[in-house]
Amino acid sequence: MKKYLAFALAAIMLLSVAQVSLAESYEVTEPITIQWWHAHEDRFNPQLEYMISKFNETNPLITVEAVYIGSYGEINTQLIAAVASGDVPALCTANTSYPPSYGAAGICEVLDPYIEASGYDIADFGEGLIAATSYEGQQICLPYLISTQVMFYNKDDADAEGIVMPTTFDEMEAFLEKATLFNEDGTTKRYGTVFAGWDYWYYEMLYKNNGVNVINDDGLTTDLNGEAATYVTNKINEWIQKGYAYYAYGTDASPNMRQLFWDGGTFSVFHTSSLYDLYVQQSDFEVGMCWLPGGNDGETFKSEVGGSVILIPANASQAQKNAAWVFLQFMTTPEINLYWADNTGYFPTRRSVLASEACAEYLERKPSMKNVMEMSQWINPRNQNPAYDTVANLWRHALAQIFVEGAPVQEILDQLAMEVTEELEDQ
Amino acid sequence: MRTNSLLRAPVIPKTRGIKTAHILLWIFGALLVIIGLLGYMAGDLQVPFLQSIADDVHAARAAAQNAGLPVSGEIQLFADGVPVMFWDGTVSAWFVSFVMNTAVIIMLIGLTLIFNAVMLKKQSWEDMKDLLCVEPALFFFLLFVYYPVIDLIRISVTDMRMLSDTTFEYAGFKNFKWLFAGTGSRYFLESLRITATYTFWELFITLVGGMLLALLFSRLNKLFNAMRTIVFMPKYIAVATSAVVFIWILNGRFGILNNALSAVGIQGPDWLNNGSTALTGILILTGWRVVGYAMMIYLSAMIGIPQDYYEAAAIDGADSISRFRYITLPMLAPTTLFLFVTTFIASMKVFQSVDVMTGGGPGRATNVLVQWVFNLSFQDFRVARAASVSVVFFAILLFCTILTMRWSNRAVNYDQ
Repeated sequence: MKKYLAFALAAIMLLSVAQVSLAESYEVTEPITIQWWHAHEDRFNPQLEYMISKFNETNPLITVEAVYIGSYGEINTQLIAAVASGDVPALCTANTSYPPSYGAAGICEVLDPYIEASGYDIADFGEGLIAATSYEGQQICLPYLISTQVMFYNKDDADAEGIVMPTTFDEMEAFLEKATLFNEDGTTKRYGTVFAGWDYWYYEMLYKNNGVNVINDDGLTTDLNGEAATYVTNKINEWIQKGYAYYAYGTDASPNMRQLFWDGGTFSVFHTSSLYDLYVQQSDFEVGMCWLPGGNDGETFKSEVGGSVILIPANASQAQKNAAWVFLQFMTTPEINLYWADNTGYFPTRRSVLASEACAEYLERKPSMKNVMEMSQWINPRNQNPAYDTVANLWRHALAQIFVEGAPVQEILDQLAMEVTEELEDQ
Repeated sequence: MRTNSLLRAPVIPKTRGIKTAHILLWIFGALLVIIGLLGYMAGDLQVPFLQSIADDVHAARAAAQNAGLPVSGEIQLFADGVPVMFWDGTVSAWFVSFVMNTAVIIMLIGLTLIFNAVMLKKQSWEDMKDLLCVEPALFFFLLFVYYPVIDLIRISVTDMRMLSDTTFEYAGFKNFKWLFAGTGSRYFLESLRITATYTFWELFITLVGGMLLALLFSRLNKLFNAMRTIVFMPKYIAVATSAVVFIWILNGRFGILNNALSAVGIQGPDWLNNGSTALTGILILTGWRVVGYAMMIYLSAMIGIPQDYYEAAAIDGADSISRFRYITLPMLAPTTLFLFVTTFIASMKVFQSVDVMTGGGPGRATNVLVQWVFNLSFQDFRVARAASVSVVFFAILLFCTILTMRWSNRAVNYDQ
C-alpha cells in the first residue's frame, strides 16, 4: 500500500527538485538579508540600532532586518501562521513559555549541531537557562533577555512609614494592612499592592511556592482546586474585597498598573524585573525591588524564568539559518548581554559576565538589581508540559471570574479542575 | 406570455466537432478529478506515512552528525525507490498544503470540464460562449469561497492542532461531542448568549438610532449636510484604530468618559475590565461607528418616498406621528430589512473591536463566538475544535438568514 501511495505522491511531486548537500560548516559566504521578528517597543530602538550596527562592523555580508511584530502573544500568532505557510523569518523572539510547545511541534531548528560545529560555549548560560531553552535534551533556542517576577515598591514611603516587604505569603496580610491607606469615606486611597492578573506568570509562584501544582506529576490532573490553591485564592480575594489590593486585568492593565504606582495610587506592584529601568525613570521617588513572597514554609522562594528566548525556525532555508546562527551568537555575546542588562532591567545571563569587572560596576550602580540577582539560584525553567500554556490560560480566566466578577471561589476552581483534566486527557 | 422568437439564440445543430469536444471534455475532466482526488488523499490521509519517513530522515541526520558530519541543506529521500522531497528531514505543513491545494485546483478544473461537457450538450453554442465568459469568476468563487467551507468541515472531524497540523488524525465527531456534551458546551452557550446580546443591541442602535438620526437630519441645508458628514465619518475609520482610542476613552481611571461623568458627580465604572460593563463598552464603540451609516441609508430611502403621500395625509388631517407611523415606517420597510439582514450578519461575526478592546475578557464576559474561535486556534492551538465551532456557527447564521428572508417575503411590502 505504501508503495502505491508513494507513487501517487511522486506523480504530484514530479516537478520537485531535490538535492543533497552536506555542508562543511555553517559559514556565510555570500551577502544575505535576514529578518528578525522581535517584541521590542519603540523605546528600545537605540539598543537595537546599537546592537545591529556593532554586528555589521564585523559581519558585512549579513544584513539584519529587525521587524517589530508586537507582544509575545502576537509574535506567537504570526510565527504559527508563518510556519503553516512556509514563509518564516530567519530568527524569532519568543516568550519563555513557548519553547515546550514549539519543541513538541518541531518548529525550532535544533541548535546542537551548530553549537558543536562553531564551538559555542553553551555551558556559560548555566544549567537552569539551558534547561529552559531545551526540549527533550535538545537545544532548540537560546536565552536572550531574561527576567523574573519581582515586587517594585516605593522605598521612600517604606522608609518613612516603616513598611517591611513580605518574604512569605502569610506575611502579606500584615504588610497590606500597613501599606494600604483609606479615604475618610472608606474607599482606598493607596492600595498595598497590585496583582498583575493579565498574565499567569506574575502570580503563579504565589501558588507554586505554597505547594500548588498547576499540572500534577501524572500529567493528567491538577490541584488547582485543592486545599492550598483554595487558601491562596481566598486570601487574595479577601484582600481585593477589603480594598488592600487591586487586580489589574484586561488589555490596558499593564499601563494602568504602572501609572497607578507612579501616581502614588499603590505602594507596590507585582511585575517583571525587566522593567526596572522604566519604573526608576518614571518615578519621582526611590524605587525598591524585591523578590516575590515565598512559601509559608519560609524556605521556598522559587521563581520562573521570564523574558524571551530566540529561535531559528526549522523550515527556514539553510542559508538563512546559517546567517541567523551568526547573528544569534553575536546577540548572546557577554558584551551585548551586559549592554542589554544595563539599559533595561533584564538579567545578565552569561556566567562569564557575572564575574566581570563591568558587571560589578553595573551592580554597584543598581543595588536593587544586585539584591534580586543574589536570589537568582531560585530561578527555574518554565513548566515543560506542552499543554501548560493552555491550562494556565484556563486558570487565568477562572481567577478573573473570581477576582474581577466576584464569582464563588470553590465552584469556579472545581469547574476549572474539571476543564484542566479534560484538556490534559485530550493531549 | 409570448416571446419574440427572433430574440432567442439560434440553435446550431450539433456538429461532429462539438461531439468530439464533448467526449474529450468528459475524459479529461474525469481524469483530472481522479488525479486531484488521489493527490488530495495522498496529502491528507497519508500524513502518518509521511511522518514515518520524516522519522527515518531524522535518524539518518542524527547518524551523520554522530559520525562528525554536519548535515544541512535539502534532503532527497528515497522511500521504496520513489523520490520525495522534504526540508531538513521534516514533513512541512507547506508540503502537505502544497499537495492538497494543487490537488483541489486540479479537481476543480476537472469538474469544470465535466460541467462544460454537460452544458455543451444541453445548450446552444451561443449560450455556451456566455457561460465560458462567466466561468473564470465562477472558478475563483468555488476555489476561494466554497472550498474553504468544505475544508472547514473536513478539519472539524480531525484532531488537528495549530502546532502539529501535519500529524493529525480523523477523529469522527469528537469535537462536536466536546462542543455539545463536553466542557465546550458551557462556553458555547455562553458565547452564543454574548453574541446574541451584542447582536440585539447593535441591531437596536442601527435601526432605531439610525432612523431617529435620519429624521433629525432630514433637512437639506448646509449646516445639516456638515453634521451628517460628521456623524457618518466614524464608519470610515479602521475598527482597530477606533478600538485603541476607545480603550483610553473608556479607561476606568484615566479615561475621558469617566472624567466627564465625575464632573457631574457620577462615579463611572472600569468599563472594559468589569464583567458587567465590558460589553457595554464595546457597544459604545459600535454605536459610534454604525449609527451614521444607518442614518445615511435611511435618509436616502426617505428622500425616495413620494411627497404626494404626505400631502394627501395632511389634507386628511393626519398629524406628524400618524404620518410617520402609516407612511414613513411602512415605506422604509425594505430599507429596514436590508439594514437588519446586513447588520445581523455583521454583528454576529463581530471580532476586531472585541479582540482589540478586551480579547474576550474580562474572564469570558465578551467572548463572542468569533473571538472564541480565534482563541481556540491561536491561544490553545486547537484548530479542529475551532473548526467545529465555526461549522456550527455557520449553520446557525445560515438558518437565521433563511428564516429572516422567508419572514421578510411575507412581512415587507416593496411596492411604492
